[in-house]
Amino acid sequence: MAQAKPKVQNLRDALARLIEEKALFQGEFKSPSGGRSDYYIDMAMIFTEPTGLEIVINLTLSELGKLQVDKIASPSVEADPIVAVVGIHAKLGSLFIHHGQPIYAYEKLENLLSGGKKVVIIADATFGGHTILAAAGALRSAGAEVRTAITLVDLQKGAQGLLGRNGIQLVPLIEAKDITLPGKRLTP
Amino acid sequence: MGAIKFGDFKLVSGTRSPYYVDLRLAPSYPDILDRIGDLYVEVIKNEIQSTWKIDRIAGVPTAGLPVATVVSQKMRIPLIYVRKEQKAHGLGKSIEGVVNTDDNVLLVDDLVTTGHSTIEEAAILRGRGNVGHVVVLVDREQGGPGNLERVGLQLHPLVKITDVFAYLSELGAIPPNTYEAVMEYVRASTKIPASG
Repeated sequence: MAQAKPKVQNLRDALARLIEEKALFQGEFKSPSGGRSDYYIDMAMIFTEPTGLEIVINLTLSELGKLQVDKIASPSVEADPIVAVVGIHAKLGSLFIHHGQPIYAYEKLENLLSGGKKVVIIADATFGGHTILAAAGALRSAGAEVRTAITLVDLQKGAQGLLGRNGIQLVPLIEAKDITLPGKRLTP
Repeated sequence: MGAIKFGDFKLVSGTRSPYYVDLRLAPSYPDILDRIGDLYVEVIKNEIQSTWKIDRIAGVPTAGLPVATVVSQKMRIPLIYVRKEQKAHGLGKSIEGVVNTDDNVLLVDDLVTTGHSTIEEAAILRGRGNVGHVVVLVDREQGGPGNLERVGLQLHPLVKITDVFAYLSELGAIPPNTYEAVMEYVRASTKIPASG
Protein backbone atom coordinates (compact mmCIF):
# COMPACT_ATOMS: atom_id res chain seq x y z
CA MET A 1 0.00 0.00 0.00
CA ALA A 2 3.01 2.29 0.56
CA GLN A 3 3.36 2.65 -3.19
CA ALA A 4 -0.31 3.23 -3.86
CA LYS A 5 -0.38 6.95 -3.24
CA PRO A 6 2.38 8.11 -5.60
CA LYS A 7 1.07 5.71 -8.24
CA VAL A 8 -2.44 7.13 -8.03
CA GLN A 9 -1.07 10.68 -8.14
CA ASN A 10 0.96 9.79 -11.25
CA LEU A 11 -2.14 8.38 -12.89
CA ARG A 12 -4.11 11.52 -12.03
CA ASP A 13 -1.40 13.69 -13.57
CA ALA A 14 -1.30 11.45 -16.64
CA LEU A 15 -5.08 11.74 -16.99
CA ALA A 16 -5.01 15.54 -16.63
CA ARG A 17 -2.32 15.80 -19.35
CA LEU A 18 -4.24 13.38 -21.60
CA ILE A 19 -7.38 15.51 -21.20
CA GLU A 20 -5.46 18.66 -22.12
CA GLU A 21 -4.01 16.92 -25.18
CA LYS A 22 -7.09 15.08 -26.50
CA ALA A 23 -10.34 15.97 -24.78
CA LEU A 24 -10.27 19.71 -24.16
CA PHE A 25 -12.20 21.92 -26.56
CA GLN A 26 -12.46 25.69 -26.41
CA GLY A 27 -15.42 27.73 -27.62
CA GLU A 28 -18.90 28.35 -26.35
CA PHE A 29 -20.73 25.30 -25.11
CA LYS A 30 -24.07 24.57 -23.50
CA SER A 31 -24.11 22.27 -20.47
CA PRO A 32 -26.83 19.57 -20.12
CA SER A 33 -28.74 21.72 -17.63
CA GLY A 34 -28.61 24.79 -19.88
CA GLY A 35 -25.62 26.57 -18.33
CA ARG A 36 -22.85 27.99 -20.52
CA SER A 37 -19.15 27.27 -20.57
CA ASP A 38 -16.25 28.58 -22.67
CA TYR A 39 -14.62 25.15 -22.72
CA TYR A 40 -15.74 21.56 -22.89
CA ILE A 41 -14.16 18.26 -21.91
CA ASP A 42 -15.19 15.23 -23.95
CA MET A 43 -14.17 12.20 -21.90
CA ALA A 44 -15.14 9.84 -24.74
CA MET A 45 -11.91 11.02 -26.40
CA ILE A 46 -10.07 9.46 -23.45
CA PHE A 47 -11.83 6.19 -22.72
CA THR A 48 -12.42 5.14 -26.32
CA GLU A 49 -8.67 4.77 -26.63
CA PRO A 50 -6.89 1.84 -24.85
CA THR A 51 -4.28 3.85 -22.87
CA GLY A 52 -6.81 6.39 -21.59
CA LEU A 53 -9.24 3.59 -20.76
CA GLU A 54 -6.61 1.79 -18.62
CA ILE A 55 -5.88 4.97 -16.66
CA VAL A 56 -9.55 5.72 -16.07
CA ILE A 57 -10.26 2.11 -14.99
CA ASN A 58 -7.36 2.09 -12.52
CA LEU A 59 -8.23 5.44 -10.96
CA THR A 60 -11.91 4.51 -10.67
CA LEU A 61 -11.04 1.14 -9.09
CA SER A 62 -8.82 2.90 -6.59
CA GLU A 63 -11.72 5.17 -5.52
CA LEU A 64 -14.19 2.25 -5.42
CA GLY A 65 -11.75 0.36 -3.19
CA LYS A 66 -12.27 2.98 -0.47
CA LEU A 67 -16.06 2.58 -0.51
CA GLN A 68 -18.65 0.06 0.58
CA VAL A 69 -20.36 -0.80 -2.66
CA ASP A 70 -22.64 -3.54 -3.99
CA LYS A 71 -23.40 -2.18 -7.47
CA ILE A 72 -22.26 0.62 -9.73
CA ALA A 73 -24.55 2.65 -11.97
CA SER A 74 -24.24 4.78 -15.10
CA PRO A 75 -26.40 7.93 -15.17
CA SER A 76 -26.20 8.43 -18.97
CA VAL A 77 -25.13 6.73 -22.21
CA GLU A 78 -21.86 8.70 -22.09
CA ALA A 79 -20.84 6.80 -18.95
CA ASP A 80 -22.08 3.33 -20.02
CA PRO A 81 -18.77 2.23 -21.57
CA ILE A 82 -16.66 3.03 -18.52
CA VAL A 83 -19.20 1.63 -16.05
CA ALA A 84 -19.43 -1.69 -17.92
CA VAL A 85 -15.65 -2.31 -17.96
CA VAL A 86 -15.10 -1.06 -14.41
CA GLY A 87 -17.86 -3.47 -13.34
CA ILE A 88 -15.93 -6.42 -14.76
CA HIS A 89 -12.67 -5.42 -13.07
CA ALA A 90 -14.33 -4.57 -9.74
CA LYS A 91 -16.54 -7.70 -10.00
CA LEU A 92 -19.59 -5.49 -9.42
CA GLY A 93 -22.82 -5.57 -11.37
CA SER A 94 -23.52 -2.41 -13.33
CA LEU A 95 -26.89 -0.74 -13.76
CA PHE A 96 -27.84 1.76 -16.46
CA ILE A 97 -30.13 4.72 -15.88
CA HIS A 98 -30.66 7.11 -18.79
CA HIS A 99 -32.53 10.41 -18.34
CA GLY A 100 -33.54 9.30 -14.87
CA GLN A 101 -35.13 6.05 -16.17
CA PRO A 102 -33.80 2.47 -15.96
CA ILE A 103 -33.10 1.12 -19.47
CA TYR A 104 -34.50 -2.37 -18.87
CA ALA A 105 -37.49 -3.41 -20.92
CA TYR A 106 -38.85 -6.31 -18.89
CA GLU A 107 -36.94 -6.28 -15.63
CA LYS A 108 -37.61 -4.17 -12.56
CA LEU A 109 -34.69 -2.22 -11.10
CA GLU A 110 -35.75 -3.55 -7.68
CA ASN A 111 -34.96 -7.11 -8.80
CA LEU A 112 -31.50 -6.11 -10.02
CA LEU A 113 -30.80 -4.62 -6.59
CA SER A 114 -31.70 -7.80 -4.73
CA GLY A 115 -28.02 -8.74 -4.25
CA GLY A 116 -27.15 -5.49 -2.44
CA LYS A 117 -28.41 -1.97 -2.23
CA LYS A 118 -25.32 0.23 -1.86
CA VAL A 119 -24.94 1.84 -5.28
CA VAL A 120 -22.14 4.15 -6.42
CA ILE A 121 -22.91 6.21 -9.53
CA ILE A 122 -20.04 6.72 -12.00
CA ALA A 123 -20.31 9.66 -14.41
CA ASP A 124 -18.03 10.64 -17.30
CA ALA A 125 -18.18 14.34 -16.52
CA THR A 126 -20.15 16.59 -14.17
CA PHE A 127 -21.39 20.14 -14.73
CA GLY A 128 -24.28 21.06 -12.44
CA GLY A 129 -24.91 17.51 -11.18
CA HIS A 130 -28.50 17.19 -12.48
CA THR A 131 -27.87 14.02 -14.50
CA ILE A 132 -26.48 12.20 -11.46
CA LEU A 133 -29.30 13.48 -9.28
CA ALA A 134 -31.92 12.15 -11.72
CA ALA A 135 -30.23 8.71 -11.75
CA ALA A 136 -29.98 8.72 -7.95
CA GLY A 137 -33.72 9.46 -7.77
CA ALA A 138 -34.57 6.40 -9.90
CA LEU A 139 -32.18 4.20 -7.92
CA ARG A 140 -33.46 5.42 -4.57
CA SER A 141 -37.09 4.84 -5.49
CA ALA A 142 -36.13 1.25 -6.32
CA GLY A 143 -34.71 0.89 -2.81
CA ALA A 144 -31.03 1.68 -3.44
CA GLU A 145 -28.78 3.52 -1.03
CA VAL A 146 -26.89 6.18 -3.00
CA ARG A 147 -24.30 8.15 -1.00
CA THR A 148 -21.38 8.55 -3.40
CA ALA A 149 -20.87 9.41 -7.04
CA ILE A 150 -17.53 9.21 -8.82
CA THR A 151 -16.99 11.52 -11.78
CA LEU A 152 -14.05 11.25 -14.17
CA VAL A 153 -13.92 15.02 -14.43
CA ASP A 154 -15.84 17.68 -12.51
CA LEU A 155 -16.09 20.96 -14.39
CA GLN A 156 -16.93 22.66 -11.09
CA LYS A 157 -20.23 24.14 -12.23
CA GLY A 158 -22.14 23.37 -9.05
CA ALA A 159 -22.34 19.55 -8.99
CA GLN A 160 -20.56 19.15 -5.63
CA GLY A 161 -23.02 21.56 -3.96
CA LEU A 162 -26.21 20.22 -5.54
CA LEU A 163 -25.32 16.60 -4.89
CA GLY A 164 -24.04 17.35 -1.38
CA ARG A 165 -27.39 18.94 -0.49
CA ASN A 166 -29.03 15.71 -1.67
CA GLY A 167 -26.88 13.40 0.43
CA ILE A 168 -24.43 12.41 -2.30
CA GLN A 169 -20.70 12.98 -1.97
CA LEU A 170 -19.08 13.70 -5.33
CA VAL A 171 -15.62 12.20 -5.82
CA PRO A 172 -13.88 13.61 -8.91
CA LEU A 173 -10.83 11.92 -10.43
CA ILE A 174 -9.94 15.28 -12.00
CA GLU A 175 -11.32 18.76 -11.40
CA ALA A 176 -11.38 21.75 -13.73
CA LYS A 177 -8.66 23.39 -11.65
CA ASP A 178 -6.29 20.50 -12.47
CA ILE A 179 -6.54 21.26 -16.19
CA THR A 180 -4.42 23.90 -17.85
CA LEU A 181 -5.10 25.63 -21.15
CA PRO A 182 -2.18 27.26 -22.93
CA GLY A 183 -1.85 30.61 -21.18
CA LYS A 184 -4.95 30.09 -19.08
CA ARG A 185 -5.94 28.08 -16.04
CA LEU A 186 -9.42 26.63 -16.11
CA THR A 187 -11.36 27.82 -13.13
CA PRO A 188 -15.13 28.06 -13.02
CA MET B 1 -29.90 -14.27 -15.48
CA GLY B 2 -33.30 -14.13 -17.18
CA ALA B 3 -32.00 -12.61 -20.40
CA ILE B 4 -34.49 -14.67 -22.41
CA LYS B 5 -38.11 -14.27 -21.51
CA PHE B 6 -41.10 -16.09 -23.01
CA GLY B 7 -44.49 -14.44 -23.39
CA ASP B 8 -45.80 -11.76 -25.73
CA PHE B 9 -43.43 -8.91 -26.49
CA LYS B 10 -43.34 -5.91 -28.78
CA LEU B 11 -40.07 -5.49 -30.65
CA VAL B 12 -38.34 -2.24 -31.64
CA SER B 13 -39.64 -2.81 -35.17
CA GLY B 14 -43.25 -2.77 -33.86
CA THR B 15 -43.91 -6.47 -34.55
CA ARG B 16 -44.74 -8.91 -31.78
CA SER B 17 -42.66 -11.83 -30.62
CA PRO B 18 -43.32 -14.80 -28.30
CA TYR B 19 -39.84 -14.38 -26.79
CA TYR B 20 -37.51 -11.51 -25.89
CA VAL B 21 -33.74 -11.43 -25.48
CA ASP B 22 -32.52 -8.62 -23.23
CA LEU B 23 -28.75 -8.34 -23.28
CA ARG B 24 -28.99 -5.11 -21.35
CA LEU B 25 -29.14 -7.31 -18.27
CA ALA B 26 -25.69 -8.82 -18.90
CA PRO B 27 -23.68 -6.02 -17.21
CA SER B 28 -25.62 -6.73 -14.00
CA TYR B 29 -23.61 -9.95 -13.87
CA PRO B 30 -19.95 -8.95 -14.37
CA ASP B 31 -18.60 -12.49 -14.72
CA ILE B 32 -21.17 -13.24 -17.43
CA LEU B 33 -20.37 -9.99 -19.28
CA ASP B 34 -16.67 -10.87 -19.07
CA ARG B 35 -17.26 -14.34 -20.53
CA ILE B 36 -19.51 -12.96 -23.26
CA GLY B 37 -16.70 -10.51 -24.08
CA ASP B 38 -14.26 -13.43 -24.38
CA LEU B 39 -16.64 -15.21 -26.77
CA TYR B 40 -16.90 -12.12 -28.99
CA VAL B 41 -13.09 -11.88 -29.06
CA GLU B 42 -12.81 -15.55 -30.02
CA VAL B 43 -15.22 -15.16 -32.95
CA ILE B 44 -13.55 -11.92 -34.06
CA LYS B 45 -10.10 -13.52 -34.02
CA ASN B 46 -11.20 -16.75 -35.74
CA GLU B 47 -13.60 -15.40 -38.34
CA ILE B 48 -12.52 -11.85 -39.12
CA GLN B 49 -9.13 -10.70 -37.94
CA SER B 50 -7.09 -13.19 -39.99
CA THR B 51 -8.27 -11.61 -43.24
CA TRP B 52 -9.45 -8.13 -42.23
CA LYS B 53 -7.44 -5.73 -40.08
CA ILE B 54 -9.72 -4.09 -37.51
CA ASP B 55 -8.97 -0.44 -36.70
CA ARG B 56 -12.07 0.46 -34.72
CA ILE B 57 -14.74 -1.34 -32.67
CA ALA B 58 -18.11 0.37 -33.15
CA GLY B 59 -20.56 -0.20 -30.31
CA VAL B 60 -24.27 0.15 -30.95
CA PRO B 61 -26.08 1.86 -28.02
CA THR B 62 -27.85 0.98 -25.84
CA ALA B 63 -27.44 -2.79 -25.50
CA GLY B 64 -24.35 -3.19 -27.72
CA LEU B 65 -22.21 -0.45 -26.22
CA PRO B 66 -21.18 -2.11 -22.91
CA VAL B 67 -20.03 -5.33 -24.58
CA ALA B 68 -18.32 -3.37 -27.38
CA THR B 69 -16.32 -1.50 -24.73
CA VAL B 70 -15.34 -4.78 -23.11
CA VAL B 71 -14.20 -6.13 -26.50
CA SER B 72 -12.33 -2.88 -27.20
CA GLN B 73 -10.44 -3.20 -23.93
CA LYS B 74 -9.67 -6.91 -24.34
CA MET B 75 -8.35 -6.42 -27.90
CA ARG B 76 -6.83 -2.98 -27.27
CA ILE B 77 -8.63 -1.60 -30.32
CA PRO B 78 -10.11 1.93 -30.02
CA LEU B 79 -13.88 2.24 -29.57
CA ILE B 80 -16.31 4.48 -31.42
CA TYR B 81 -20.08 4.74 -31.17
CA VAL B 82 -22.95 6.45 -32.92
CA ARG B 83 -25.16 8.57 -30.72
CA LYS B 84 -28.84 7.59 -30.92
CA GLU B 85 -29.98 11.04 -29.93
CA GLN B 86 -28.14 14.12 -31.13
CA LYS B 87 -26.65 15.71 -28.03
CA ALA B 88 -27.98 19.20 -27.40
CA HIS B 89 -25.07 20.06 -25.15
CA GLY B 90 -21.31 19.80 -25.50
CA LEU B 91 -19.89 19.25 -28.96
CA GLY B 92 -23.13 17.95 -30.52
CA LYS B 93 -21.24 15.23 -32.41
CA SER B 94 -23.02 12.20 -33.88
CA ILE B 95 -20.03 9.85 -33.53
CA GLU B 96 -18.02 9.55 -30.32
CA GLY B 97 -14.36 8.64 -30.44
CA VAL B 98 -11.92 9.04 -33.32
CA VAL B 99 -12.30 7.37 -36.73
CA ASN B 100 -10.25 7.99 -39.87
CA THR B 101 -11.57 7.63 -43.44
CA ASP B 102 -9.61 4.48 -44.34
CA ASP B 103 -10.23 2.74 -40.98
CA ASN B 104 -11.82 -0.72 -40.97
CA VAL B 105 -14.72 -0.53 -38.54
CA LEU B 106 -16.18 -3.65 -36.90
CA LEU B 107 -19.78 -3.29 -35.72
CA VAL B 108 -20.53 -4.91 -32.35
CA ASP B 109 -24.15 -5.29 -31.28
CA ASP B 110 -26.23 -7.54 -29.04
CA LEU B 111 -28.52 -9.16 -31.60
CA VAL B 112 -29.83 -9.06 -35.13
CA THR B 113 -33.47 -9.64 -36.09
CA THR B 114 -34.07 -8.49 -39.67
CA GLY B 115 -30.88 -6.45 -39.81
CA HIS B 116 -32.78 -3.21 -40.39
CA SER B 117 -31.30 -1.22 -37.48
CA THR B 118 -27.81 -2.63 -38.12
CA ILE B 119 -28.01 -1.43 -41.74
CA GLU B 120 -28.98 2.07 -40.55
CA GLU B 121 -26.07 2.09 -38.11
CA ALA B 122 -23.63 0.92 -40.79
CA ALA B 123 -24.88 3.61 -43.19
CA ILE B 124 -23.97 6.35 -40.69
CA LEU B 125 -20.55 4.83 -40.07
CA ARG B 126 -19.87 4.23 -43.76
CA GLY B 127 -19.62 7.95 -44.26
CA ARG B 128 -16.60 7.74 -41.96
CA GLY B 129 -14.82 4.39 -42.44
CA ASN B 130 -15.08 0.92 -44.03
CA VAL B 131 -17.77 -1.23 -42.46
CA GLY B 132 -17.69 -4.87 -43.63
CA HIS B 133 -18.46 -7.09 -40.63
CA VAL B 134 -20.95 -7.27 -37.79
CA VAL B 135 -20.60 -9.43 -34.66
CA VAL B 136 -23.64 -10.15 -32.50
CA LEU B 137 -24.36 -12.50 -29.63
CA VAL B 138 -27.68 -13.72 -31.05
CA ASP B 139 -29.03 -14.07 -34.59
CA ARG B 140 -32.82 -14.16 -34.23
CA GLU B 141 -32.93 -15.81 -37.68
CA GLN B 142 -35.52 -13.53 -39.21
CA GLY B 143 -33.65 -12.73 -42.39
CA GLY B 144 -30.73 -10.84 -40.83
CA PRO B 145 -27.75 -12.50 -42.54
CA GLY B 146 -29.29 -12.25 -46.03
CA ASN B 147 -30.45 -8.67 -45.64
CA LEU B 148 -27.03 -7.65 -44.32
CA GLU B 149 -25.21 -9.49 -47.10
CA ARG B 150 -27.16 -7.55 -49.73
CA VAL B 151 -25.57 -4.34 -48.43
CA GLY B 152 -22.10 -5.85 -48.13
CA LEU B 153 -22.16 -6.68 -44.42
CA GLN B 154 -21.08 -10.10 -43.20
CA LEU B 155 -22.80 -11.26 -40.03
CA HIS B 156 -20.94 -13.25 -37.37
CA PRO B 157 -23.35 -14.43 -34.65
CA LEU B 158 -22.04 -16.17 -31.54
CA VAL B 159 -25.24 -18.24 -31.45
CA LYS B 160 -28.41 -18.75 -33.47
CA ILE B 161 -31.66 -18.42 -31.57
CA THR B 162 -32.99 -21.84 -32.65
CA ASP B 163 -29.84 -23.43 -31.20
CA VAL B 164 -30.54 -21.61 -27.93
CA PHE B 165 -34.15 -22.90 -27.93
CA ALA B 166 -33.00 -26.45 -28.71
CA TYR B 167 -30.48 -26.29 -25.88
CA LEU B 168 -33.03 -24.91 -23.39
CA SER B 169 -35.53 -27.56 -24.46
CA GLU B 170 -32.96 -30.32 -24.03
CA LEU B 171 -32.17 -29.04 -20.53
CA GLY B 172 -35.88 -29.07 -19.74
CA ALA B 173 -35.73 -25.31 -19.13
CA ILE B 174 -38.67 -24.65 -21.44
CA PRO B 175 -41.76 -26.86 -21.81
CA PRO B 176 -42.35 -28.64 -25.17
CA ASN B 177 -45.33 -26.44 -26.14
CA THR B 178 -43.29 -23.24 -25.62
CA TYR B 179 -40.45 -24.76 -27.62
CA GLU B 180 -42.82 -25.65 -30.48
CA ALA B 181 -44.40 -22.17 -30.40
CA VAL B 182 -41.14 -20.24 -30.59
CA MET B 183 -39.68 -22.56 -33.24
CA GLU B 184 -42.84 -22.10 -35.31
CA TYR B 185 -42.59 -18.31 -34.85
CA VAL B 186 -39.00 -18.31 -36.14
CA ARG B 187 -39.91 -20.58 -39.09
CA ALA B 188 -42.86 -18.34 -40.03
CA SER B 189 -40.88 -15.13 -39.86
CA THR B 190 -37.61 -16.22 -41.45
CA LYS B 191 -37.77 -13.96 -44.45
CA ILE B 192 -38.75 -10.50 -43.40
CA PRO B 193 -37.32 -7.84 -45.73
CA ALA B 194 -35.02 -5.36 -43.98
CA SER B 195 -37.32 -2.47 -44.86
CA GLY B 196 -40.24 -4.09 -42.96
